[in-house]
Amino acid sequence: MLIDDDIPEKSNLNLEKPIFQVILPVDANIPLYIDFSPRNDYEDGVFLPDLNNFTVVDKDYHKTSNYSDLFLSEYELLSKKSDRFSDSPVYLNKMASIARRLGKYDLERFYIQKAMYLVENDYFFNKYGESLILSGELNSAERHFKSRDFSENFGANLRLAYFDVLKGSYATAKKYIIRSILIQPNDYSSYLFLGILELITKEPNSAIRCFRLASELRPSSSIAHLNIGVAYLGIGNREKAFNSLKLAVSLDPLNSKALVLLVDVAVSIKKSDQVISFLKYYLSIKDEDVLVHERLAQTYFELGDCHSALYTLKNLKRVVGSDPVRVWNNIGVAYHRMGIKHRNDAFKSFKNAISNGICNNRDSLIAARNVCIMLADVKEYHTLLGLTKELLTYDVQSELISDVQFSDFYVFHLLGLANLKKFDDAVVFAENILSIERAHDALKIWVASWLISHYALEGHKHAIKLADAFCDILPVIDKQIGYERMSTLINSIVFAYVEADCTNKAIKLLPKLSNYVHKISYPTATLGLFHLRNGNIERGKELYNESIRLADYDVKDKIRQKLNYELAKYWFSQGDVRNAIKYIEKAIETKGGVPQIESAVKKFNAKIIKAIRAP
Amino acid sequence: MLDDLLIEAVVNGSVLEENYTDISVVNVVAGQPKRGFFSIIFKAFDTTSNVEVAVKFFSPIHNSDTYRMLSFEREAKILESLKDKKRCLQINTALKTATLSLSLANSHRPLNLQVKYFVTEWIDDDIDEFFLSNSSNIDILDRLRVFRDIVLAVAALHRSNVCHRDLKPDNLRKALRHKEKVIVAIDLGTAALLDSHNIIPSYTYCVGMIPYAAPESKCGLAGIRRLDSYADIFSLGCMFYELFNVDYYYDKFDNINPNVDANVLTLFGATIAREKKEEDKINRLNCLLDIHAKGVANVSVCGCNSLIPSATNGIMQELLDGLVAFDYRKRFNNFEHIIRKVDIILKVLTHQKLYQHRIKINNASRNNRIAKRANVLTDKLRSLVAGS
Repeated sequence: MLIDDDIPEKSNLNLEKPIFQVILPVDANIPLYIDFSPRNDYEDGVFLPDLNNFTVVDKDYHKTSNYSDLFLSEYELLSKKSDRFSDSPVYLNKMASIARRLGKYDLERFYIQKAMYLVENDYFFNKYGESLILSGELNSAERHFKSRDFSENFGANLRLAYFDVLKGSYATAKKYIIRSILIQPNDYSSYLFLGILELITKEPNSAIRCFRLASELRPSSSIAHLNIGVAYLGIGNREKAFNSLKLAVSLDPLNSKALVLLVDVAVSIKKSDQVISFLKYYLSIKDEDVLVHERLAQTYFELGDCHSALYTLKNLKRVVGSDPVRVWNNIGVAYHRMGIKHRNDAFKSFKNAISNGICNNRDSLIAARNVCIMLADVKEYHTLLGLTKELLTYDVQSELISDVQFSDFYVFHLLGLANLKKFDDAVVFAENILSIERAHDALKIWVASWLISHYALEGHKHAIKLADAFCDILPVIDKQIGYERMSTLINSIVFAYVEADCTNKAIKLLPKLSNYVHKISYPTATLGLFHLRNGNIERGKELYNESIRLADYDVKDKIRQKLNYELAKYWFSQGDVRNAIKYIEKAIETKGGVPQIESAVKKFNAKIIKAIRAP
Repeated sequence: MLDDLLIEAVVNGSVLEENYTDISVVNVVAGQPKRGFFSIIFKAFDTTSNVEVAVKFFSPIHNSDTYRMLSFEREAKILESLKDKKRCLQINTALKTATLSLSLANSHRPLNLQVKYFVTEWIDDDIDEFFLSNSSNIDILDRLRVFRDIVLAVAALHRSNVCHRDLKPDNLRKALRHKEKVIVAIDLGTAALLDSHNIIPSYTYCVGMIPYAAPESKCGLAGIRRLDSYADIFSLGCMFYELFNVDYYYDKFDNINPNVDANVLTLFGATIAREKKEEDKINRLNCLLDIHAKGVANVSVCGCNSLIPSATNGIMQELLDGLVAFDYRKRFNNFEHIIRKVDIILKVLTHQKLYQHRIKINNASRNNRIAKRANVLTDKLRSLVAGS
C-alpha cells in the first residue's frame, strides 16, 4: 500500500453553500420559509440538508404593488360609487382588495368589517385576519381566528397552524392542518403544509408523500417539486432528488434555489450535462446571480471544459466587482485544471485570492489549500513544506487541525516530509497528530492510514498494533468519514495484515475491502497481494494488472514494481530461481518506485544472488 | 388652473356652439387631482337633435404632451370609423377646435387658446350592478347574458379593426338601439386601429387598468398591434370571472402565482427590451412563454363564495382558461367560439332552471292533490261521524 502520492483531491472550487429552503405558501401574501442548514460534511461533492437543523423564516413578503398609482385611480373611481353599492359585500370586498394593494391595511379592515356586518361568512372573517397578519399584528390575528368556532373553517385552521409553526409548536400545527384537510380534502396548500411539518418532525418519507399529493393537485407547482427534492436530499436519495429538482426548475426556470441544488446533485451523480441549458438560460435573464455563475463554472469543470469555466468565472468577476476572493480562487482552479502551461496564471490567481482576503479567513485558506494541491501535483515538495510549515505555526487555536477541510494542511505537510524522504520526522509528526484530541477524524484516518502503510512497508511491529486499534473503531467511524478516506484506511489495515501474514485478520476485513475493489486502484492491488501471498498467483496477477489500469499514470510503476517483487518472492519460494531472477530484474529496472520497496528489492536481489552462488 | 378655466368657460357657454345647453362637467371635481385623466368630459343637451351628448375636450394643461394629444385625435378618428355600428359608441360631432379666451391681468387683449373636442352620444346606463352589487341579487342567467352582450360589443369593435385596450366594467354601458338595449364600450382613449402604427416606440406600462391587463402588456408589449386583440380577450376573461366571484381575477391569479407579476413579467420585460424590431420582440416573448407558461397555475372559476352551479363548472372553467390563458397564443381568438360556449352554458342553466321549476310545480300539484284527497277523506269522516 502506497499513499505518498495520494493528495486529497483536485484543486477545490470555493462555492457558496446552497440554501435548502422549502416554501410553505399558506397564502401567496404570507408565505413561510423553512431554511435547513447544510450538513457540516461536504459529502462527495454535494451539500446535503440537515433535517435536524432548520429555522423558520417569516418574511415580509407582501409589498405594495408596483402599480400603486394605477390602483389609486381605480380606488378613486370605485369610491365614487359608494352611494349606490355601500351595502354590497362584493363592492366592499373590491375596495378592501385595492386598499391592500395600496398597503393601507387599516382601510382594508374597515371595508371588510363593513362587509362582515352585512354577511356572515368565513371568507370575510379570514380576510380580516389576513389583513392583521399583513400589518404585523400577529397576536391580534391569532385572537381573531380563535374568536369564532373554526371547526369547519378551512382557512382559519391553516392560519392557526401558521401561528403554531412560528411558535415552534409543530404537533399542534399538524392537528390544525389535518383538520383543514378533513374540511377541504383537495387543497394544495394543506398538503404542502403537512409535508413540511412531516419534514421538520423528521418524517421525510411521509413528507414526500404529502408533497406528491400537493403536486398532483397543482401539477404546475415548482414549489411542490422543490420541496420533494429537498426531502429526498434529506434522506440522501440523490437520483430521486435530481428528478424532482429538474422538474421544479423546468416549471420555474428562474427558481435559483432549486437550480443551485439541482446543479449540486447533478455534479455528484455525474449528470452535469443535463443541467447546463438551465444554467445558461437563467444567466441569460438574470446575469447578476453569483451562485448560479459559480455553478455554471462548476458544471463546465465537470464536463472537462475548463476554457468555458474560465470564461464564466471572468464574467462573474465583472459581476461581483471589487475584492472577489472566491472568484480569484476559482479562476486559479480553472487555470490549474487547464494544465501545466497555465501554472503561473493559476499561482497568480490563488495569490490574488489569498492577498485579497482577510488573513486566515475561510476563503483565503481554501485558496492556500489549492496552492498546496498544486505544489504536491507538480512535486515541489520543498516549497510545499515551507508553506505548510508557516501555516501550521499559526494554528495555535487548533482551528485548522479540527476542520474537515483545512486539516488537509497537516496531510500536505506529512506528504512533503515523506516525499523528501524525511521518514523519521514524518513518523514523529504523524504520531503527534494521532495524539491530539481535537484533530479532525478525517485527518486522523488519513494519518493513521499513512502510518500503518509506512510501518507495514518497514516491517515494523507497530503496523499491526495500529491496524488493530483502528480496526476496533471501524464500526464507529464507518458512517462519518467520506468514501475515499474510508477506502484508504481499510486498505492500509488489510495491507498491513497481509504484509505481516495475519491472514485470518485480513480475511475478516475482506468484505469491507471488496466495496472498493475494481473501483479504486490500491484496494484492488491489496486484494491481489492477498491472493499472491496465498498462492493464488493467476488471480493475484489479474487483480494487480487491473489495479495498474485503474491507477494514475505516475503510480502505475510503483504498483508494477510491487507486483514484480512479490512474484519474484513467490517463484523463489517455489525454487524457480529463473523466474525469480526475471521478476526481480524487472523490479530493479522500474524507475520512480517506493523507497522502502526499492530497498527491499535490492535486499532480495542480493539474497537470490547469494542463493545462486551458494554451493 | 387651465383646466379649471376651460371648465368654467365651457359651462358658461362661451366655448361651444349655441346649440349645446345644460352643460355640466362629469369626470372632474374642482380642487381634486385629475389622476389618469387627460380629457375633460361634459354632459350637455344638444338642442338640434334633442338628445343628451357627451363633449370630450383634450385637457389644455397636457397640450405639450404629444402622445396624449395624438391619442385624443386617434380616438375621434376611430369613433368616426365606427359610425352607424349598432354595438359601438356613436360620434355626433367629429374632432373640432374651439377657442378658449383667457383675459390676462396686465393686458387688454385676451389670450386665445385652441382647445380640441369632439361630441359623442351620452349613455349613462352602466352595468356596475352586475360587478358590484350583492351576488345574490342578480340571477346567474342574467349575468351570463350580460357577458354575452359584452363579448358582442368587443367583437363589433374587432370587426371594425379596433382594439379597445382598456376594457373594464366601468368602460361598458347599456345603450338603446332600436328599442333594444345593447352593451357598448365607451372611452376609446386608448383604443387603436389594428393596422395603425404606434404613437410612441416603446411602452413601459400596460395601457389599460391593471386588474384587467394581459400579462404580455405588462412587459412592454402594450404597443404591439398583433397582440392587442389578445389583450382584449384577456380583459373579457377577467370580467367573466368577476361576474361570478367576489374577487378580482387579478388578485386570485396573483395569490396562486406570486412570482409571476412581481418577478417573471419584470424579467420578461427586461429581456424583451433588448430586442429592437417588433418581430424579434414577439419571437422573444414566444420563446419565454414556451419556457415559463407551463409553470403558471390556472385560476379556478369557482372562487370563494362563487355563484357557479356544479353542472356548468367544467365548461365555465374551459371558457375562463381560454380567455385568460397566460400564453396569449392559447387564448381564444374567435368570438363565435366564445359566444357558442356561452350559449351552451346558458342552455344548460336554462334547462336546469326549467327542470327545477317543473319539479317545483310537480311537487306543488302533488301536494295539492294530497291535500285535496285528505280534505275529501276528512269530509267523509266528518259526515260519517255526524251520521252515526
